[in-house]
Amino acid sequence: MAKATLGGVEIEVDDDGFIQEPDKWNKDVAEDIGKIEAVLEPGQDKMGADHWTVVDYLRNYFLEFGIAPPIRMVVKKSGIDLKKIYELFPKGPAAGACKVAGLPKPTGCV
Amino acid sequence: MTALSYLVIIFGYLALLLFIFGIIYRAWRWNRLPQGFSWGLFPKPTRWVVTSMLWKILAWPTLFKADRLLWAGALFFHLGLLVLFAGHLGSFIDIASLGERIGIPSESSYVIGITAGTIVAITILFYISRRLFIRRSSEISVFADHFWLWVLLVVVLVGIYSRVFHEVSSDAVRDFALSVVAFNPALPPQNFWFLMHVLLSEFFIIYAVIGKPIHLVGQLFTQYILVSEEGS
Amino acid sequence: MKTDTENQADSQAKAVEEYEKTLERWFGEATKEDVQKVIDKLGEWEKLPYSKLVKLNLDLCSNCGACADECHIYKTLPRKEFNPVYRVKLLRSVYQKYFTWVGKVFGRFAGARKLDKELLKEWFVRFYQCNMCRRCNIFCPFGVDNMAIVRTGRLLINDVMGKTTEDMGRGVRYHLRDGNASEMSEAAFRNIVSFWEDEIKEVKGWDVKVPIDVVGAEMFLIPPNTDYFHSLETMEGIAATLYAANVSWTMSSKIFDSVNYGTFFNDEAWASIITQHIEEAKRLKCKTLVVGECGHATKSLMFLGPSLLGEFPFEVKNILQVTADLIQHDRIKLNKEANPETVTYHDPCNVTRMCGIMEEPRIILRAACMDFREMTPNRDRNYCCGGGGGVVLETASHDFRMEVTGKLKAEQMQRTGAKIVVTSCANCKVEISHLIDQYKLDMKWAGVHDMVLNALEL
Ligand code: HEM
Ligand code: SF4
Ligand code: SF4
Repeated sequence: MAKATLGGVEIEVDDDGFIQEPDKWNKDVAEDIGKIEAVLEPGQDKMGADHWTVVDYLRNYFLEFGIAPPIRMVVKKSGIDLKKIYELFPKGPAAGACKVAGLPKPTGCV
Repeated sequence: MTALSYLVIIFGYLALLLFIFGIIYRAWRWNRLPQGFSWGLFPKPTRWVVTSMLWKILAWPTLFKADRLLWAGALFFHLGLLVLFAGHLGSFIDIASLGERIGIPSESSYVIGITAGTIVAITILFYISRRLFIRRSSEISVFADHFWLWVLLVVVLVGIYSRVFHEVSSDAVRDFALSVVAFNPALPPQNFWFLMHVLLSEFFIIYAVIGKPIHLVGQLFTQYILVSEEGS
Repeated sequence: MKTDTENQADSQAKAVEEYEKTLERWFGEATKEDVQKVIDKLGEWEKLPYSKLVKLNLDLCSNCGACADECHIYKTLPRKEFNPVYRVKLLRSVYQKYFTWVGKVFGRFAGARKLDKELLKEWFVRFYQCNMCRRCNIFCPFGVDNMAIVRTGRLLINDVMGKTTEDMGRGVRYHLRDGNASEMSEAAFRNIVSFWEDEIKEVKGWDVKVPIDVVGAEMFLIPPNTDYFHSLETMEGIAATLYAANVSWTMSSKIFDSVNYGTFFNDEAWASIITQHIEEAKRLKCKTLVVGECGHATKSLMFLGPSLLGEFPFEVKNILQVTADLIQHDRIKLNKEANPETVTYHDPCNVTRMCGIMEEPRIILRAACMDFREMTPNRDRNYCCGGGGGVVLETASHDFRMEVTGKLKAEQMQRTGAKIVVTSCANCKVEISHLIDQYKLDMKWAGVHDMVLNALEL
């Protein structure tokens, strides 16, 4: 298992870059992962409001239910459509946005 | 030549012994293993189950779908073998007169035998060339696959050669064969090519137990597993 | 300048190499003791519940190679290592070396090989490249089932060394711990169920309530975890169908995931996951345990389970059989016009070749869609989507699946000219959705009940 310095703290990450210590997640960590996973507005070095809408939704769902929500639920409840999510996070909601939100890697046929 | 004769007789008994007990042993080994899983393959026949199993064992519809050339080659090969086996029964019983009763003149035995032998030889060459030149087959063939094909080819060619150039009277062959079966072996006809053919064929009988011809027995088990509803 | 074909060959080779490296890394290094233990286990034939078939297969294959061209993997990339016979010979040669006298006496000449650390590593790599789809099986003149041998090889490695591929291994660990493979709690389950209900309300306007923990309901339904995350319409379609037909059914708040990755590599885990399903079905006193659109679970519960663990006190059905039956008895009304696009059907290996469910999906699709078109080849002779045998479960296998195992399926789908590829297995849906993205195919993917959901009327 590798270690990475994100948001100024050392965090364990798996092969695909998902953080393994969800408790250490905070907004700075998210911004640092976002530098790799998110497409930022031109001239910006931080994620925008839409990024955060998705990330916050994923994060809050995870804190309440312990899993990542279904993609369709993200789209419906966050009000940001799938195409837009892929523009924000090119690897998509699971491999991209969930990683930024500090969720573990989703398993199974999902 | 007598040393060869003794070899033929000794190997003859050995082959017979191994053949009978070998097949029983292998069938027993297969049979006692568990098949707890129902591992059928669909679509399964719901009616005519036995018939469709036999169809699969005898006509190889699955191979027909996959590799038509091999199917045809193998079909000719096995039919040729079948005819040859039938002809070799002549070593034990008087099939010439049996044949005449169903309308096959005894003179045609020569033509039928040589033709079947030639077909088998040609199809063996086909098998060999497949294993040499068709990639999906050559890359997985091992020495033994080639070796037995060559043995078989030699058996058949020697058989044809001795029949054509050194014909031994069928009565003499039968006298010898029956004496062996009666456990009172007489001296076989003293003809080098004939003796070689018999000796090699005895190897082939041994091979039948460890090599491919055992398929026939194994198939009965496999095909049953594939159609059965429960484990067996 | 390289031509397109050369570029394609390059990316294919790269995908293979990368996944092989990953597989090797997952395997790590075997010790001498591991090797010896694998050999010892291979000798304990009687303990393997299907050793008769495996031994027959090992004894009977004639190395003819007729099956090779029938394997989609070898057909796509005809490398020696992908020849099904080469693959199973990795195990057969070891069996010959230690357990047949021909192999003992003649060794290499008879194809026998000593097992060592490197060979064991190759077992792992090759056996996890096979989709276990059994297509080769139907063409073999001797009924040789290469999948049974591949599974045996995976089993031996897992028994001795505890190794399997990453995500699949994790899924099984979760399943044994939580009762599902995706770390879902009861709260999460209930949350997603109510989301299904909201969505049905939205598209149909019906107040469907998914019955949960109803003891004595006729049918107890278990869908695969995919239906909670990836193909929600499938489960919505199923719930709406059962609602429309007024069937007495229930789900469980504890055991709600049909998948059983043990099927692919481990008998113990496999049996205990099945036992979870059985115990819950008994508790709910259902008459029929209905498996959702999930291939390997249907096979496990319908055939393998009863033959290993004894007859179940209830019937096992796949949801396709239930819905086809409802259609044939006029218990639901479908309006084809809701599905005007051309639809084709991908036969999942587990649903089709291994459970014999071939006509039911066609009955349903013909009743629910205007234009249903077959893919060729189809039914029992279909090609695997490329995700079978647990390969699709690995994130790391993505490129390998796209470039090699799934390529033929992508071409096949495109040739139909259909706008929607329908299938009835969770694994296939994931793989097919990836293929559509990768090859930019002008089509969508769906489950059988997604189409039913559109067409259903009260
Ligand atoms: C169910 C029955 C049988 C089936 C389906 C069957 C099928 C086949 C096939 C497909 C081949 C070609 C394989 C290859 O290229 O290696 C073959 C080869 C052969 N078969 Fe059969 N066979 C059957 C029974 C028999 C029997 C009863 C004999 C008995 C004498 C026999 C003798 C042979 C021999 C000698 C070969 C070639 C040997 C070699 O390649 O080493 N087969 N068989
Ligand atoms: S089971 Fe399927 S993937 Fe495996 S070798 Fe056979 S055809 Fe190929
Ligand atoms: S598995 Fe069957 S078809 Fe394939 S090489 Fe062996 S005998 Fe031939």
